[in-house]
Amino acid sequence: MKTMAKRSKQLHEEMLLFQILPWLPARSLGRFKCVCKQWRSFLTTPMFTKMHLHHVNNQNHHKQLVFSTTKPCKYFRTIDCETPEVGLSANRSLPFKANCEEMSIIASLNGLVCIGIDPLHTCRYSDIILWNPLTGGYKTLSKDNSRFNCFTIPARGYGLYYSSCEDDYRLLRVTLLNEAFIYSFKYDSWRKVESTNYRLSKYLDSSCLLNENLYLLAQSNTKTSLRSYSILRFNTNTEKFTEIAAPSLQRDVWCCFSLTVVSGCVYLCASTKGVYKGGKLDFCDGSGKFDLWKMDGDEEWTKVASICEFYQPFHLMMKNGNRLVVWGGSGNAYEVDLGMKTTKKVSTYTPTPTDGPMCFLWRGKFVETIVSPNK
Amino acid sequence: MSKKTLTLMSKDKQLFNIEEHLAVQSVTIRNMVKEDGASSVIPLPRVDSETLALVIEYLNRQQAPEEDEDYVKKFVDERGEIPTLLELAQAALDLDIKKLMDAACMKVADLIKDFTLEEVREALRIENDRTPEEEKAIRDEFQWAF
Repeated sequence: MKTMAKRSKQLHEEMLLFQILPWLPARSLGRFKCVCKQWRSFLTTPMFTKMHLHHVNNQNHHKQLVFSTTKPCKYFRTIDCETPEVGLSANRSLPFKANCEEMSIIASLNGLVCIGIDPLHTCRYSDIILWNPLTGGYKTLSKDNSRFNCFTIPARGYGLYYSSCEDDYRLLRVTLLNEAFIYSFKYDSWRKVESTNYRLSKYLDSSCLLNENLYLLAQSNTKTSLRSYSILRFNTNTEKFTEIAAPSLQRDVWCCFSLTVVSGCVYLCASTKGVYKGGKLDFCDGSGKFDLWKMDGDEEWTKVASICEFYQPFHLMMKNGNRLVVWGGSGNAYEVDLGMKTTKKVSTYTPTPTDGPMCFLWRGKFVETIVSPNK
Repeated sequence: MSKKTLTLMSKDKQLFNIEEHLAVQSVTIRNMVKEDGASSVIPLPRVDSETLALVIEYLNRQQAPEEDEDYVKKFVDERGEIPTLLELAQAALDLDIKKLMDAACMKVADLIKDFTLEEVREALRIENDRTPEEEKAIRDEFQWAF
């Protein structure tokens, strides 16, 4: 009888560890490492981290990083993209030596945020850091085998991805000279890969990862005055580039773009301060507009929404169907119903003396995971 | 043609009848039926009768497929007690009924996510095997989570 009871306890134990703990939010997992020794060792295994990540990525629940602008600008907070009305989280200090005025966010994947630091406002990052904002773990990229262009800033083309066969996080860097470099976080080293073969004039600071392909938005070189856009697809397995068409963006003065993946589809959001009508810039409703495009399986684009309102480009898809949240620079959050084309303010931020106005860096969207940037 | 019925027997020897086409939502039962036709009673020595009654209730649901997700969520929500949910999740795991197991496990996770360490240990009957000093040290290490 006693062995039966013990057996049943053991069975529950296995279910707890393998079936229940992976559903917990990352923050609870950090706390629950303190429950008992067995949980601590189990929760730190790479296998568990992967099981948890799988659930997190399916849940598509994002936070947005915001930074305090009051000197010395070393604090950050987060906003829950699903419940922005709750407001900002408590503030935490950045674990590395940098302040938000000298930082830009390069990419974000699996709860890791890649940050470039440019303290002297030159054209080159002094350091690139991979950071888990939840656990505080971070790692500074080594400069081994790096070339000057791996760290240059203007028209940066960066993309962060994970190689499952090598179990390695990697940062792709494409330069304007059509060079491509890959940084491996496992080997802490850069290497050059075959060039892109596409002459693109500018990378537009936006990349996303879907099914082992990285998509980077770029502006092409054309002889005419018209701008043309294209998307560079990087196959992370073969390490080959292919150029695919971007949506047919009109002559409007697009000022910011963002590529994002929602429910297995790539979306491109382009916003503008005004549109060209009859050869001159026209401000629709005195503001501007943003267009949202969706890429299908054949890499064809369909426009899913076009809304005449101008906001900062912090566009985040929410879980509730086809909605979109755009963050104003003031820290206000708006929820836009794409079908109904209605907008409502869902959260308001009043600057406090400790924070000052909050700074929303582009691409500061992340999921909370326990993935460690240090292998 | 009359529908075929299976008999399931709980740990405490209670018998439950269920139509075969409903019972085979459990992959474990489906495999048993495939193997030997399962004409006789199927013993489930790890599932008590209360839990088995719940599992049978779930398998007998008459939901349109598109309402199934909501139904299973509501089904576990109504059994919001951790011990019941643990038994249900264990039975669903043994019987390989994935939707029910995931829903029950998610519900337990949702119930315990904001628990203190003491509450987790009590709810899940886990012994604290650290000295107060060791516990303080590890709490400091994971301060971001408290």
